[in-house]
Formats: sequence, structure tokens, C-alpha cells
Amino acid sequence: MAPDKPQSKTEVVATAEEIEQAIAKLTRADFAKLNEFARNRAQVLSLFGVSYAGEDLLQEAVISLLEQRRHWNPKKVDFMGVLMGAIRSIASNLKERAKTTGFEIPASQFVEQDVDGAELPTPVDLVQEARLNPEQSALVFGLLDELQEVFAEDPEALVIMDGWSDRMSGTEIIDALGIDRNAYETIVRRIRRQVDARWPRGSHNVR
Amino acid sequence: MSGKKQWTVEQAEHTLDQIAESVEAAPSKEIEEDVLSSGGDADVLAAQTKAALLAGVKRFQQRRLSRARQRYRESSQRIESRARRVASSAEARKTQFFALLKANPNIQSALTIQYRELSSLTDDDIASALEEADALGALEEIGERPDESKS
Repeated sequence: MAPDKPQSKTEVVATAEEIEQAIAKLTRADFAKLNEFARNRAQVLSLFGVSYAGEDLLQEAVISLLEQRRHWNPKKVDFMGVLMGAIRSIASNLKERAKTTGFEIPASQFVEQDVDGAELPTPVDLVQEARLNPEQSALVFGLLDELQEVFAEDPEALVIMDGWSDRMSGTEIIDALGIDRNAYETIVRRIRRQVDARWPRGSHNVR
Repeated sequence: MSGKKQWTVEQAEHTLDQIAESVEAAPSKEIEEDVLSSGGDADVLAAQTKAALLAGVKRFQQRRLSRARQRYRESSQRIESRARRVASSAEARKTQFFALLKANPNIQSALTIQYRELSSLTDDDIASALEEADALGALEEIGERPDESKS
């Protein structure tokens, strides 16, 4: 991942303690939003054969801040914004690497130390575990098919999903349908809820 | 709807990107309400999400600790190997010391100025001189270990 360097040498970045404090200050609603966003990025990764759960992305986002591969200036950007930016960037890099060089293994699947003398998994074992089979990656397509069926009686939602599948942006759809942003967001929220209800949480591989 | 749509990866990705944009733009409260309305347990979800974030902190600390341990091990090994190069008995240190002087006449002249007579050097002086010479790599250069040559 390309480091997100401070704008100047004198720019202050957050310490590990500040990051821990920021996590402690997040609300239940913030956690729900972060989880939803990370899960969505994990869904995209599964399209490219990368087996990452949302939790893996959350964990790696924090590590990237602590290792200062990404920088956070608490005075300029809110913690939610920097975390979601880190998740987006990590997922994007994983996707690009998966397209060119193959699979990525989440840090959470690595064991740092063999404390009990147990045999550690080899990189080959880990790659085999991380590999999604075509059926698993096809589940994203299944989810989208399912959504279209669910919305058979909701033409507004269907039209928006059709627009997305035609690679249209939200603004283009709003213009094409002659609706306002609020109306668009209300319909998108209905779609989001259905995705939420149909995609199990905390799982690498959707069943 | 008639027949199933054939999704491509690009279409599916774009659709998920649009949903992500909507999640990002929505207030946290709205997402929380959605979790609750779809029957989810927001407390459990919050605990899981917080645990994942804190696992990142823990992992970072473990890596840092592991790196510190590694540095300590390497540093200890260096000190240990240096200590082993200085002979362990007073007699052997004396032999090693004179071998060092023979190989480095400059050291001999410097020490003679300092102590006038080398015979007046105590074992502590010799041990200290050997440690300093070792730090400069001089013992490694003479390559002699009196302890080993005796055994």
C-alpha cells in the first residue's frame, strides 16, 4: 500500500495512545457503520477471489495507522473518516494485487509465535485456506440476483439497481429519474437493508 | 422479473461501490437503526467490531515486542561473542595482551607512555585494555584465543 505521508515534515500524526483512545470513544452507531462498510469492501474482495472478512480489514486498518503506513492528524480528520479511508485503500490494493499476483492472506491468519510448540501453518497452507472457490465468489452474484427478486414489487429499487449494473453513478441516476438526492438515498437505504439481512456477519466465506 | 440477470464482476463491483458510498454518506445512527430493524444485535455487533479494531492494536504491539526481542537477542549475541574473545584467566589474558602489542606496536607505545613500564600493569588494566581493543576489532584481527590454544 502506498504510504499516506504527512503533508509536511512538521505535520503532527496520531500516537498509538491517541488511536486507542479514539477507538474507545466510538459509539455503538459508529461501530455499526464501520462494520457495514468493512463488510461491503470484503464482499467486493470476494469477487476477486480474496478471502477477507470485514473484521480482517478493520484490524489491518488500525495496524496501518499504528505502523504509520497511513497517517492520521486528529486535528484535521475525524477517526471514522480515516478508518474508512484506510479500509477502502487496503481493499483496493488487495483487489489490484489479486488481479495481478494472486491471493492475499489476512494478518489475523498469521501466527506470530509458536507459544505452545504447535506446528505453524506454512504459507502454502494459508494460501490454500484463503483461496475462495468459484462457488463461494459466485455467492456475491447470488446475493445480487436475490435482491432483484426481493425487489420485484419495488420498481424504484429495481430501476436503481439496473442503473448501477449499467455503471451509472448516483448522480446520473438521480438526473435520469428526475428525483432528488433524498428520494434516491431513501431507496438506496431499502437496498442496503436487504443486503444487510442477506449477508452473514463475521464470516470469510458466505454460506 | 423475467429470467435472471447475468452479472459481470464489473457490474457487481460497481453496485457494491454504490452501496458503499451510501454507507459512507449515511449518519452512523441510520446504519445502527438499519441493523436493529433487520433484527441484528447492535451491542454484539459493536463488541465484535471493537474487538477487531483492538486486535489490530494488540497485533501491532506484538510485532513491536517481537522486533524488540529480536534486537535484544542480536545485541546479546554480539556482546557474548565479544566477551568470549577476551581470555578468561589472568595468565591467558596476559599472553593475549602481549600478542596484541606485538601485532600493534602503536598500542604498545601508547600504553608505555601511560604506564611507563608495561610490567606495572595489573590484570584489571590488561582486561580493560583487551576489552577496548576488542571493541575496536583488534582482537579479531590477531585471531588468537589463548584459552583455546591451551586446551
